[in-house]
Amino acid sequence: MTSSNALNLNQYLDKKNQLVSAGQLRWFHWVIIIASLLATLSAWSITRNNSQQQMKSLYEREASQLVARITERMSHYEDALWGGVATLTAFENPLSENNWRTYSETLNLGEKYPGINGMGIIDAVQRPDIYEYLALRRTERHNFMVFPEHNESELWPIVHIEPLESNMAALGLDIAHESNRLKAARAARNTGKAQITGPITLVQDARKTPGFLFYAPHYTKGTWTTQTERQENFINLVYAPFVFERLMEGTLDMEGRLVSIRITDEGKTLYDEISANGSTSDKNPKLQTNTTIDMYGRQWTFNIQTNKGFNLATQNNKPLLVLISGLAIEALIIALFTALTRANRRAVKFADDMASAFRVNSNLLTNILNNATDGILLSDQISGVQSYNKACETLFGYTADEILGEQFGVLFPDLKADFCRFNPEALADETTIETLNAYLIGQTREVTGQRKNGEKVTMEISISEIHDSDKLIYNTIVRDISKRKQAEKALKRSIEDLVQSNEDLERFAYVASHDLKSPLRAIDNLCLWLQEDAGPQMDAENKERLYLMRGRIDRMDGLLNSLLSYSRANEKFIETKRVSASQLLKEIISLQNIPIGFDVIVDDSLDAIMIRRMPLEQVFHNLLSNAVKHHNKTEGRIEFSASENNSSFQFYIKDDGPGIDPMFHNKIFEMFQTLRTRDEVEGSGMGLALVKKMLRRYNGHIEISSNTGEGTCFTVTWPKTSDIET
Amino acid sequence: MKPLTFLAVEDDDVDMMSIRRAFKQLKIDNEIQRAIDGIEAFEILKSPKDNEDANHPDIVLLDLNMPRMNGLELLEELSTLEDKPNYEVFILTTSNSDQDIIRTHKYGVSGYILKEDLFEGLHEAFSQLDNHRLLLS
Repeated sequence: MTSSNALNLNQYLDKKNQLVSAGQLRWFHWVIIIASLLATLSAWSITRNNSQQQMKSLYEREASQLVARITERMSHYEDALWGGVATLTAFENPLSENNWRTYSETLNLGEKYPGINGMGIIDAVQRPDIYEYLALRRTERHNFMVFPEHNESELWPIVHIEPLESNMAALGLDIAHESNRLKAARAARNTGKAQITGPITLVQDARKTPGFLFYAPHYTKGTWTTQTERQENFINLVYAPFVFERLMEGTLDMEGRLVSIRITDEGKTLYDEISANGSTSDKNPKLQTNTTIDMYGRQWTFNIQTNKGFNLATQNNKPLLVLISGLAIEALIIALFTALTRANRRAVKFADDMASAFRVNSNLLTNILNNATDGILLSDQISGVQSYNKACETLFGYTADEILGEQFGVLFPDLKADFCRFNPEALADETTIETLNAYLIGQTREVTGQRKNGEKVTMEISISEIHDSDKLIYNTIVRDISKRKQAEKALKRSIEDLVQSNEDLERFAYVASHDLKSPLRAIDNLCLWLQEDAGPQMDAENKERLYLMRGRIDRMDGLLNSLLSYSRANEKFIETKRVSASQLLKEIISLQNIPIGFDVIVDDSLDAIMIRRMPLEQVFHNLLSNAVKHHNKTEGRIEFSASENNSSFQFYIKDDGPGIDPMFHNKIFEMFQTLRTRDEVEGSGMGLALVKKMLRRYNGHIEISSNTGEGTCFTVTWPKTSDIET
Repeated sequence: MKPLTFLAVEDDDVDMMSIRRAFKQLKIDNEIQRAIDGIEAFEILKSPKDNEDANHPDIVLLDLNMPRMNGLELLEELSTLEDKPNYEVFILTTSNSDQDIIRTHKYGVSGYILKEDLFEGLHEAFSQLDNHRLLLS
């Protein structure tokens, strides 16, 4: 079967493919994913850069601040030294210890210049002048000693130092004994600038930590530009000893600093926060810088790096958060796309399953349609034939392809004529579509179908309406009934023939018996007249012959009558009046000559049964007559009774006669059959045959129950509906 | 008064003998004319009433089964006559078949006589006739 209806599998496949491809991750999905990933990464990168920038800025700020502070402090101390130099210039040379003390106390070194270990004066003494110098100095401090011994040509003793208590060990110390000290001292003298020593350990530092001396040269009044002038006018140095640790403590914030610092002078560590244990220094600093600064004649290398405090301060989760949220969004987008594609896949699968189920169903329906022996057509008034099964192809000769889309009328061109055939008053021209539809739809009708080759075939069609959404579709079941019609025709002819032959037979029997009766009657009359006229003169033998002749004539007459009756047994009895069975029987009994000695009993059960006279009258008459005729005794008892059920009456005729051997139970119903010779018992042998024939006409029947010596019971079954027939 | 004349329309000789014998037994010796079939009977019966020469039977005993023209056909022919003479028809029948009775009844027959019981039948039939037409024995 092919059909052009809505479900076209090819259309479906196309649509499905579209859906499937729409559900896959396409290039723009990837574009979105990648773009958002890039956005995330760049946001992260930017944030990170920002962070790093900030960090770097912070660090640089810190670092430079640090350095600045140190240099500032150093310059501060330089100022203090120059202040000292100014004081020396103001005072008479040599300065007394008291004067120096006053200066230093007024200066309030401890408060104003934290980190300074003290402040003092260093004289330069040529070796030859040493004793003189000592004598001079001892006038103020009697145990003034210059130590230690060395081989330099100059002696540079520390002559004053304040505060004295903590710096006692330095008093009288000859800084020329140590190269660093000396070198810087000479440099200060020569350059006129403040100078510091390389890393030394101060004698007054019990812990022997790194330190340095800070010198400022004191000249005689005047501006000296050359080294020689300077040397000539040099008086002494103002100096300050520093313990680096203390200097740093005083300069830097020890708490909350974000960078750690190491200061080295020519590789020698002056101050190291970085390597110290338990410090805040970071083994892997984020940032570090090395700066070398000219510090008053020395090169201080500042090794600055970020410390743990810096890490804490710059702990910035922002980039990470940006990254994480970006990636989270990314993940969500991917999850969304995945979910969408999965949903799409599931939808497609569902549709597949449905289509599959539908296909199974559709296949089943197709199979049913194609295997049906009746033609099944679907059509509508606009698009013509929509569906056309295999049986249709056989019926009409057209293949499905040839007929789809054609109008219904192609297959049934004579519908109006068909209608008129069954409605003789109608005219084909005046028959409207409405009339035709009303005639055909919802009914089974005989119409003329037309095959492809033009042949007309009688068909039976049943058209029903199907309402499919808004369309009206007609479902037509088609049966080729031409064979059936032929069979019906043949049957009708057979019946007609049968009826005819029956009639012929009956007519024949009637006529035959009539025409046979006539000469028989003549013979009987002549015989009678012979008996009457010549009888008295005849001898016994001849009388006997005549007598026998008349007997045979009677017999023949009887046979002919029976034959006549039998032939007329098929006639319809038009009598409609009903009597009670018991009354009918009583009439029959009275009409027959029942010999004395025979009791004929009519049971009460027959009172209520109302029947028409014929043919049961004849039936009962024959049966009663038989029962009397065939009785073997002079006395007998015959009983009539009846019963009934839903569909029929049962009449029972029972006698106490000789009974009939079961082997004859069939034979007795045959025509002309007697069980005794006709000389023994006169009888045509037609009685029971006649009864059987009559009963059969009305769908009744007769049965015998009997055995030799046990009497006989005939049961006549009489259908109730036979009484309703006319 | 003129005695009644009978016309027996009967093809069978023995049946005819039977009729004559029955008449004899009934002590009726009126003349019985005989026609052997419908055609002969028609010839006799067709002549008009006022024709004195014709031999008009008063009573017709009509057998139904005869060759050439049977009883029914004769009745049919007679019914077409314009001037029907005044006679009475009795059907002689071998059977009391309702069909025959019905079919002949419309021709206005006066009675039916069974051939098997001719004596009784004739007796009954004639006793129905008008008294003044009664025959002299």
